[in-house]
Amino acid sequence: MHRVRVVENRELGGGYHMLTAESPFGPDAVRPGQFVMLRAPGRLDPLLPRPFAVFDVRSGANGGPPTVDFFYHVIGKLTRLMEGLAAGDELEMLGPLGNGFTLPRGARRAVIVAGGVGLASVLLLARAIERANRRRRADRAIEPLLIFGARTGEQIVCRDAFESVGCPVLVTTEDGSLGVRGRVTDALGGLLAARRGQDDGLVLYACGPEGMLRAVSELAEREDVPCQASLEARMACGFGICLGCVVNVRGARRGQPEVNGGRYERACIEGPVFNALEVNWDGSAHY
Amino acid sequence: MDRPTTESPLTPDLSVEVAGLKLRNPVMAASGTFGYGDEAAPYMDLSALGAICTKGLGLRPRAGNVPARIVETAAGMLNSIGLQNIGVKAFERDKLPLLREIGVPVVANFFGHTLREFTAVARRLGAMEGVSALEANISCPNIDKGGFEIAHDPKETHRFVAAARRAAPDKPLIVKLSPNVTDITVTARAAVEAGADALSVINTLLAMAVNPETRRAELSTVTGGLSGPAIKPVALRMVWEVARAVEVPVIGIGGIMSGEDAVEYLLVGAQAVQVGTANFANPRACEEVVAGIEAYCRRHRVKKVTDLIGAMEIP
Repeated sequence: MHRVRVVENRELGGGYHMLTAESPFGPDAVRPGQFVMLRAPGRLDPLLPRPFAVFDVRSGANGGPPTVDFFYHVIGKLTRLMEGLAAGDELEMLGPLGNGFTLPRGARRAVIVAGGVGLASVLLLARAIERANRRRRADRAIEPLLIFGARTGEQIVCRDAFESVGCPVLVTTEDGSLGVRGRVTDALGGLLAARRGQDDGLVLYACGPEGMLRAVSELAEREDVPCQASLEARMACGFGICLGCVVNVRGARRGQPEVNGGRYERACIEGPVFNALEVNWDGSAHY
Repeated sequence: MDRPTTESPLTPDLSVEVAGLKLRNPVMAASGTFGYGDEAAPYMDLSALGAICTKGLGLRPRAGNVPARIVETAAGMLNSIGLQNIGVKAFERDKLPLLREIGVPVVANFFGHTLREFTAVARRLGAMEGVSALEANISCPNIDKGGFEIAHDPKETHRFVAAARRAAPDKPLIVKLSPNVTDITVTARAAVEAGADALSVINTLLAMAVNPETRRAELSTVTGGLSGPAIKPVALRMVWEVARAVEVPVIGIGGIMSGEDAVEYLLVGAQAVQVGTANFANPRACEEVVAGIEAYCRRHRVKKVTDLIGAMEIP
């Protein structure tokens, strides 16, 4: 656990916040999709740290320490405390943790689907795609797209962060107040139907509420497209010890007992990014 | 007691002996909160520990319970992991060689749902070089007797502990007591009469949580085990009761977050302590508890940590 200082904490609108803290690690030490555990120092309640996706990491300016951004909304005891933090306040941080998203060699098109606070884990992915494209020949570049969905237009935030790394944003809102009316899966379904039969090297990435992940996963399965999903799970430790965050993944593996045709993998070590087509959505938690 | 104003310049002796195990300090990592040692290695100095208690081991690998398995409560947490573990065979092959290298005593925690299974695991672990002691979990359901905890019945406790004692005659046998009984000293005496060399007090308290918004139980199993600072006063009371009731060493467990918390357990009669839930909040928790005990000893000019054991005064 590192004690880190808050640099900035601001409200973004739509119930979302961005907390910037000094980071014990720099941009090269974190993979897209990784997370850290954050804890309120010296408190017995909330007692345990909570997992937060790394939204962004920047090298320190003028020889200062690197900084890390967390995109969050207030849902529980810790985020309620976080909302009240100001520059100079402290947090405890462990990480970066978990496996992260990968860019398959054959990928030519990346559609990133984010629902609500799920946006937190995909900016580094968009940036990794931009960086990979700089190294790749033009005909092997990956064409990115973010489909970002929320209930209403004021919750559509941070678009510029994606556009500035060359990732266009397709917005969906359930009330139609901004972008396309409907859910991310409606937009995704249309997009997938339009490219059916094409060998376009499409890879799907998804992060958001479980219902959304499940729907994205079903679309991916139907259209036979690879899909990496970042799952949220209750965690006590974040480093593999508590076994609280397990996800049921299809397929047996030697030495691991079978449950409902699958096995339990830890979201903190073997995840949080899983092959969505292998997740047994019925055998995992519904909080 | 004197309240000295200067710290002692002497390095206090933190070593303790529990059931023949020589520990460099009284702080053990509690079973189920430290995996098999390897997961925490990147974050802390494992050799700073008094001992490591492994995740509870069964005869065969076990998948554990369906999620949701954990939920945080006020100053504590509930867990219902369901004894997920890799089994004794994989433990010996994959984990024990690394654990032995650390150079601190390895306490193999084990369970069994039948007398036969319980005895078989004890026998396997008892024969493993590098396993320093066994810690029997008697809080798991006893399938022989309708699925109630073994610990719920002193006769069953005696039967299981005596069988483990015979199956692993060469290793110290620690029995981890369940707090979910009317009088813990009854189970404690039954375990000692059956041959326990030490008692770990306590395992988690049976508890539950429900979400009023969704009206759903927070755990898939509805009930689970409460741990963390919330249980410390209860655990402390039980350690005190057991330490007065039996002659064997007692290892205090429950909500230890700091050196002072550990000292409280020593004062009420514990010979050593285990740090559990705190490891989740901070992988260096055990190291910090050791440092806290040392700082306490300096502050209070305690030369040997053993001088604290049972030293509570009653006003």
